[in-house]
Amino acid sequence: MPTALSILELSKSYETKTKDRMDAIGSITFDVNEGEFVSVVGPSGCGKTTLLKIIAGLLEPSKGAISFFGVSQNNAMKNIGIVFQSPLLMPWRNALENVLLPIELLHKDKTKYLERAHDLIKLVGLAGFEEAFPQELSGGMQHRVAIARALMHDPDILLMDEPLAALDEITREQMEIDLLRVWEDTKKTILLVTHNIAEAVLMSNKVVILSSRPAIVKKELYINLHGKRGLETRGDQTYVAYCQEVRHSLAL
Amino acid sequence: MNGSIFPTIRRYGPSVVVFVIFVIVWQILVEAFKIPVYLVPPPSTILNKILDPSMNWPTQAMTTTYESLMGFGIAIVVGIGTAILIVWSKGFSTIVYPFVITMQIVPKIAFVPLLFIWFGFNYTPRIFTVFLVCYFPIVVSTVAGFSSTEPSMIDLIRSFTSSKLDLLTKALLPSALPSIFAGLKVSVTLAVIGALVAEFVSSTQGLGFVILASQSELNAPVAFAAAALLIVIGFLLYLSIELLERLIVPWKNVVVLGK
Repeated sequence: MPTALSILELSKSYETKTKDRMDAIGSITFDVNEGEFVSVVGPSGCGKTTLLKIIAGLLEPSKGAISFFGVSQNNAMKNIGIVFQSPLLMPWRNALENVLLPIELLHKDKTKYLERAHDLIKLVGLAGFEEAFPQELSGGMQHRVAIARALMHDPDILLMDEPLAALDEITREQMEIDLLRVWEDTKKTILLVTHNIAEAVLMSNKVVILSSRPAIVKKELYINLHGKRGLETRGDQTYVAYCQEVRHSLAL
Repeated sequence: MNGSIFPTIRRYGPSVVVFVIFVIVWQILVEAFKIPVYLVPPPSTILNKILDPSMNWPTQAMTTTYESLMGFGIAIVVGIGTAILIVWSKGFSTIVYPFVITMQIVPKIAFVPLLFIWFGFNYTPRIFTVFLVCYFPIVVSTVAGFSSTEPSMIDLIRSFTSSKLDLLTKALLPSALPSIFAGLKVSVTLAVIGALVAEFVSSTQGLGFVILASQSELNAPVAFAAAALLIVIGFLLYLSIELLERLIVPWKNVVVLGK
């Protein structure tokens, strides 16, 4: 499988208001293969979101390199979709118009993408809610719209920044299953940043464990759960063992 | 907004009742204490004046409304334009903002007589006066509205495009709309006052002219009638902005503490 995303010795430091240097990311190196679901877990404040913003091209790294399919970030056609922690839907647009936002921003012909937008809304389980405005949707439904929006322009890589963290337990477990289904249907390469160990293990092929600030990669753990992941997986012995291993690595 | 006017009546009914009681008490007090008409006329006399066709109220009211609306309209275009310049680049902002603030601090009213010397004794200086008083609240509220855009929303858009125009039209302007409308509501009420002040300085028609003329004749009923019409005009302008807001910004949060 080709490498979809490669991160090489990436570091980031800020200058704080008191003119001190603050190292957010020490040095991070890992790869994400095409079609893989990779989770990055780490203690809160360890620079996970910073990492994601650098990959998305919203922040400049201090050192290091990022490449997409072997092409360095600066030259690569930026083709990523992002799901943020909050759904960030525009209250002045209905669900369908929110999903079509990327097409407008990329200045493509909207009419050609209407069918795809409807398909995606169906994929995330919101058929019939195309005309609904964000304030008429529940928190979980808003996240579904955000996921459909991130897939709209058929990105090579989907970046997710704790997309389910703000949801209640019941909604989140359902969303995890649905997100897995979306992944299986679309075969997208997904990079998920989270501080939820159970979520990371359940969803991923690989879990990248980061240290506290300045972040370095402590461990890359490959997950092999033998077969279908679903609600029952949480009781599975292998699954529980993986969760323990991640927990130990974080605590080390 | 759902086709029935009954909720509106129920909502504003109490205000109307209070107003009617106020007018009745006024009438009774003026008659009971035999207050001279040139000091405080009774509401009945004022109403008679308003209904007097020889006063030519529609023309006078239209003149003041026209000046208010023109100045207000120009202030919207120039004010929002200025706010866009201010967010467009740091350089613009540092150059433009001090002038905007200075313009608000200088006593604008002091310049009104000068405006007539510069632009002639016609509509232009009056419309310009209205523009001057309306401009600042619109600039400030629009800039504040732009700043209230969620930072992650800006990240979201920047992950697709680096176009400032897209950022402005897709995120900043719609996010700023509730705040812009707050500024418009302040401005539109100031607009009528601006027109009035300019008419005080120089005019041959308009409600301000009527009030000034009534002063020389000690004609209080006419002044009160003109003031009543000014209140009506201000109210209607304000309500049309509020109606426009409900049509354009239906997602606006309405915060009410308690029933």
